Amino acid sequence: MNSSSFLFICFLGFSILAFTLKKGIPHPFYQPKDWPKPTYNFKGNPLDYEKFELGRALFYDPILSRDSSISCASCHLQFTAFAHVDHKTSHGIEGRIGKRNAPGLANLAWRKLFHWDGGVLNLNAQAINPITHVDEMDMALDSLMYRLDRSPIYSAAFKRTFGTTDIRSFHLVKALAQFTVALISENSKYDKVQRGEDGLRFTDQEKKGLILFNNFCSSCHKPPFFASDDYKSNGLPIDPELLDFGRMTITGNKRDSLLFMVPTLRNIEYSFPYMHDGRISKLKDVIKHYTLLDYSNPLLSKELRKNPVRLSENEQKDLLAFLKTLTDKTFLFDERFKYSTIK
Amino acid sequence: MKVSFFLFFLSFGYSLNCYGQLSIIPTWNIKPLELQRIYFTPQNDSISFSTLKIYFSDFRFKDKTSGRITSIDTLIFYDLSDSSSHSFFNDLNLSNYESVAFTLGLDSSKNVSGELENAYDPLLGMYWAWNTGYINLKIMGESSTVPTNSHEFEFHLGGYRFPFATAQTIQVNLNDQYIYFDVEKLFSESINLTKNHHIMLPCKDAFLISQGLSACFK
Ligand code: HEC
Ligand code: HEC
Repeated sequence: MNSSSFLFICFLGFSILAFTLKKGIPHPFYQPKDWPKPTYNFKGNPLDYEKFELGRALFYDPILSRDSSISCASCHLQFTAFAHVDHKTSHGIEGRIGKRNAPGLANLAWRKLFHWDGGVLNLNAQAINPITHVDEMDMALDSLMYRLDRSPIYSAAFKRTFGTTDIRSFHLVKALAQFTVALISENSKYDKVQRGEDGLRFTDQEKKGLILFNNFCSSCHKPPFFASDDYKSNGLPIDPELLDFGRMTITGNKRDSLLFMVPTLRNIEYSFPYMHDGRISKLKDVIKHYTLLDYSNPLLSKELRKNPVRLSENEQKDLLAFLKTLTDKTFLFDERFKYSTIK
Repeated sequence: MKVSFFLFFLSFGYSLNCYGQLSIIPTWNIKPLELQRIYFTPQNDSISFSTLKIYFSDFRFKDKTSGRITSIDTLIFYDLSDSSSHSFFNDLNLSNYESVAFTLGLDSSKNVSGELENAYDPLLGMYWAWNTGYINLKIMGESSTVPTNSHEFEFHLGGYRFPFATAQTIQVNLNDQYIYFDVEKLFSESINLTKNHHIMLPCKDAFLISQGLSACFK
């Protein structure tokens, strides 16, 4: 190596170092190639790595619940794709049982509506729900702000990141959103095959499953999110105890009765149990549900009514194999999303 | 404007803060309404109020001479229990304007903005978390008219979705800096406490009651 290229390399090294020191660590959010523009309003909450770390610590801290017993992560566990594993409907403080199943959290920055009934229009504002809900964290916002203000760790952290000595709910929800927007899942086998990465290919069975998926499922569970912002009925009868009418609760429109969010199928292998009330516990039984539907039911959404899902036993296995290619281990075990506290 | 002239004197001591600020004054029987005080309805039933909170937005002032409109589109939160919220727009010379139009409540874009700062803070008790949106007007209290054991009434009027959009456009002439909200009129003309004493979500009744609001402002 001659001296000028040595100098150049030194220069490059120093500039990168200086850049990193100045800009700090980058926020983990990024725009995956070929994905649409996110809907999240980043202007109102510019990405900032320190705020991400604050949001992450808050996500894992039971300080947000009235009796300091549960955190967001109690219902949204990373290794189950941030869904609530094992419980049909979620469990809040004092073992209170909610009405709905905690959905997995991924690719939230691209969503227009939140919750099984689409009642929540904004990711920031979403967090007010679990915090104040009596069956979840049951925490009054004014007491929570007081608690955070009095915590030496959090008052210092909010001062450092938001420059405030008066913590308000908007600071709190923006910090949480800095963490939740970063939960991007797009490194499943499916994604890698699409991108032609690592020389990966689908097996024959997965290929057959993909064709079945495109025939029967992708009209509602649309790639790349394997979800949609439309509210649909996939034929689940109402649970007579929960009496959850879904979208109608929000719009007051009878036509929206029993319509629910079309949830993402990314990491679906891990986000059991399934459906808004967690009534189906095994993925293969979800597939069976679609094959056993009463397709003359006028309440069923048209995508299904017009195109009944008919699958042989083997085809059901093929479809299951395809669904498992949506598992993203990089996401489920990403160190940046693990439990952490403010240092 | 005989009533408002009378009220001007009545409320003089009560809101001495500098002339020029626009002030909202809820009234009962042409006197400033007070929380926890017992009033009587025309039917001689007792009634008292524990909470009165209102959102105002999208103010448009009409100039006396030029007719030009000055718009101020900030969200104003009014809380009867907090006197610092009763007057606003310090730097406006109100004597220049002949009238003001404003929205009682929030239009749909404000409802869904996701902004939770200042007047939008959920802490103010006007935010519906499970059904993103704000309450335009919250009025609570007790009345012997209410046919339940507790005699409590609770109105959370809000909702911006068709067909039950509840925000109201209101116009008043500006003879002074006061805008009067005749709460008695609301309870005698738009709210029937024997039939309706709890509204907690966007619905037809919230819509119908809200439609009576504009007639209550002077
Ligand atoms: C007691 C369990 C519980 C706790 C604690 C909890 N959640 Fe949830 N979460 C749920 C349930 C249940 C839903 C679905 C609610 C509905 O649809 O009505 C949900 C929905 C969500 C959604 C919307 C997902 C979607 O696909 O629409 C987000 C985002 C979310 N939670 C974030 C959080 C955050 C941040 C916290 C901590 C402040 C938190 N959750 C705490 C149970 C919980
Ligand atoms: C009419 C649109 C529609 C079609 C077509 C459709 N689904 Fe669904 N799917 C939904 C809705 C809506 C839900 C949520 C229903 C509920 O919880 O009430 C759902 C839920 C699911 C769930 C549970 C997800 C979770 O996190 O709980 C799985 C798995 C699923 N669908 C797989 C499939 C498969 C496989 C196909 C094709 C055979 C398919 N869906 C076709 C609308 C559809």
